[in-house]
Amino acid sequence: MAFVTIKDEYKRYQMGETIIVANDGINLEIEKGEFAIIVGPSGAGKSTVLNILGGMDTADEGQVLVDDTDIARFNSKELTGYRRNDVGFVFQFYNLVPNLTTKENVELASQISPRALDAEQVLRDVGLGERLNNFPAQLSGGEQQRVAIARALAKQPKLLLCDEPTGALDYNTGKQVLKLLQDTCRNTGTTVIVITHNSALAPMADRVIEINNAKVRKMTKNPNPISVDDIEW
Amino acid sequence: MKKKALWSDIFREIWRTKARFLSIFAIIMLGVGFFAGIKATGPDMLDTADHYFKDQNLMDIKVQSTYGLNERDIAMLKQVPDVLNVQPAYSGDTFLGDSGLIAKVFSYHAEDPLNHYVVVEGRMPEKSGEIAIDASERGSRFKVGDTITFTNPDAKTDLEDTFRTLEYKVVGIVKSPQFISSMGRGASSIGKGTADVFAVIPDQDFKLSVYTEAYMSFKDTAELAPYTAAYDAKIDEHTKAVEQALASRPEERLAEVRVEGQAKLDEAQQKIDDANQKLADANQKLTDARQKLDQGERGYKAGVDKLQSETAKGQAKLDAAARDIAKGKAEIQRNQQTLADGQDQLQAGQAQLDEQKKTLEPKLAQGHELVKSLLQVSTMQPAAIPEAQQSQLQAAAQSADPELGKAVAGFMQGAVDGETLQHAATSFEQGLNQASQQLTNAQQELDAKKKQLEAGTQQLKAAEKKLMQGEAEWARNSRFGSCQAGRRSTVSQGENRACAGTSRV
Repeated sequence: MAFVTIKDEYKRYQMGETIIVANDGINLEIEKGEFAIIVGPSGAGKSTVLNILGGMDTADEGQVLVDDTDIARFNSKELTGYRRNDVGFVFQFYNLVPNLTTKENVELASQISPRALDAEQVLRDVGLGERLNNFPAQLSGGEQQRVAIARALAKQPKLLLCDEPTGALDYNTGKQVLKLLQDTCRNTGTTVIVITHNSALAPMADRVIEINNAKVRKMTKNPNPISVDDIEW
Repeated sequence: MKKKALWSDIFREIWRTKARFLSIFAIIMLGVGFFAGIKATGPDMLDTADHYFKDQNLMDIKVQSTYGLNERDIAMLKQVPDVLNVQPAYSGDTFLGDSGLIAKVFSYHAEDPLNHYVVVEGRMPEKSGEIAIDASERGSRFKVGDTITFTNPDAKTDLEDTFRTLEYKVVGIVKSPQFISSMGRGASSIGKGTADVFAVIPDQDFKLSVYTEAYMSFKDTAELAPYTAAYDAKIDEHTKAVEQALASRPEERLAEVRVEGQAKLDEAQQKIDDANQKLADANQKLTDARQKLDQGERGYKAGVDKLQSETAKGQAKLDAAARDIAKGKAEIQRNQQTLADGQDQLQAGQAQLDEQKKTLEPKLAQGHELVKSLLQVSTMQPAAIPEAQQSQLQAAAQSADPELGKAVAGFMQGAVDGETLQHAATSFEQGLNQASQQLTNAQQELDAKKKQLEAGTQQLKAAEKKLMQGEAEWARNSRFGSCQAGRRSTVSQGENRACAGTSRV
């Protein structure tokens, strides 16, 4: 049984009289500890899938099985618990709390999670040991994204979901962030799912899922992923 | 689960934007405060009222009757189920001095169980002649120590029927649980119909034979709050019970009062009948008088007409009389003229006669002498008569009468005898006597004429007098006539007096 299974999942948005189908029968599987990449053009429905997986949205139809539990059936209280305990989310635009220092931001997540890591340690691990008491406004984009990743990692989630994490970053910083993600996946065995529209990253992943026009077009397994340092684009 | 980061985020956010936070806090606080305050005010006021009423033991029900309540009524009220207290009381309305305020005066007894007053200043009245006044705005003109007199400008009501004394001394300013509004003090039977203040006097100062009202409280309403449905329901029940208890009383009182009233009624009815009779009589008099009046008016009209016709007639008469008078005057004047002429004639005649007499009388005397002498002579012989006498006699006889002269001459000559001379002489004397007689006749005639004339003058004078009288009367009458005419139009005072002075025609 795959760690994450999405079966015939539909998500529709009703705008007055028109219906926009964001997910039109999504079917995918991801194994535990895999580094999966979801690629596709803008508006394909990738973020919708990730949001549903992350418990931030509910599917209209279908099954979403995470570790043998169908989260599509969860009520809002159960979903909150699922989000808190089992999911770490990294957003495209960081979403850090501006009033809290980096350490506090990470503590925000670690304090609500039952098996959290030490915030300081996680921050050092991401290379932000010098920046513990700075506010997000005082950090660069890459540092902020790393704080976000640290926040997500500190919870030790089952799933680490990243929605275009390098979207706002330059080439080098982006590579750095991706490296971090890959290392986390390798070292801790966390299942990492990254959304990107950069298909050049395909070789670094264990699984590549192509979503186009609200449907999964192709799912390919990659038996020999290479390190992101080796990829140039 | 630790939430330190969460809390520190919250507090830091607040601290960072404290002005905004406090503003929003204040705005919300105002809104909530208003809402909460307004929501709470109603129940709070009711609660205050509840406490006030309970502390002052306000009555649950007030029983009034149009005929008052007597001891029997009070006893029946005490029998009403679940009653706690029954307090009979007196009340009355009066004006206070000349302030123009109408007071509802309540009786008070220190042991009254219900409707206790709150003393704001001074104390409750204890003896007769003491009074406590409403603590309201209108009652504030009276202070402790003032004297108040009960008055009523309506002469028909006698306050002495209700109150034992009308002079009171203010000993306290009080509030009553019966009146929680600052304005209304209920309806009044005097003046403008509403009372301005209430006042409290000892119950011994009321002189009424029945109670004007009774206050009642009940056991099961003691714990309930006023203005609630539960309390109102209970009061409805009790009201019904009270009405039922007194259901038979109206009839009984009516019977009592009826007996009293009937006597008065009969008396009054008698008076009415008498008055009606008088009215009928008076009406009759009125009709009679009216008839007389009509009659009189008709008579007056007739009289007026008559007056007019009579006046016309009278006027005609007057005019005729005037004409007669004029005629008479003219006649008188003519007669006067005639008289005057006659008088003149008479005078002329008299003068003539006197002349004649003057000439004749000596001649007559001479004649008589002659005759005497002749007669004498006749007896004598002519030769015996002296020549001188003879010639004298002859001359005289000749001048007197030629016939005689002849006779004498004859005698003298002796041709004629003495008898013939006597005859001649006597006929001459006769002639003389005739002449003298003629003279006398003429004089008599003249005298008679004079008498006639005098008579005529007298007549004329009488006629003149009569004419003057007639004229005067005519003048009076014509003046009267004009007065009469004048009276019918506008009459001045003077003329009226003048008219009044004249006598009727």
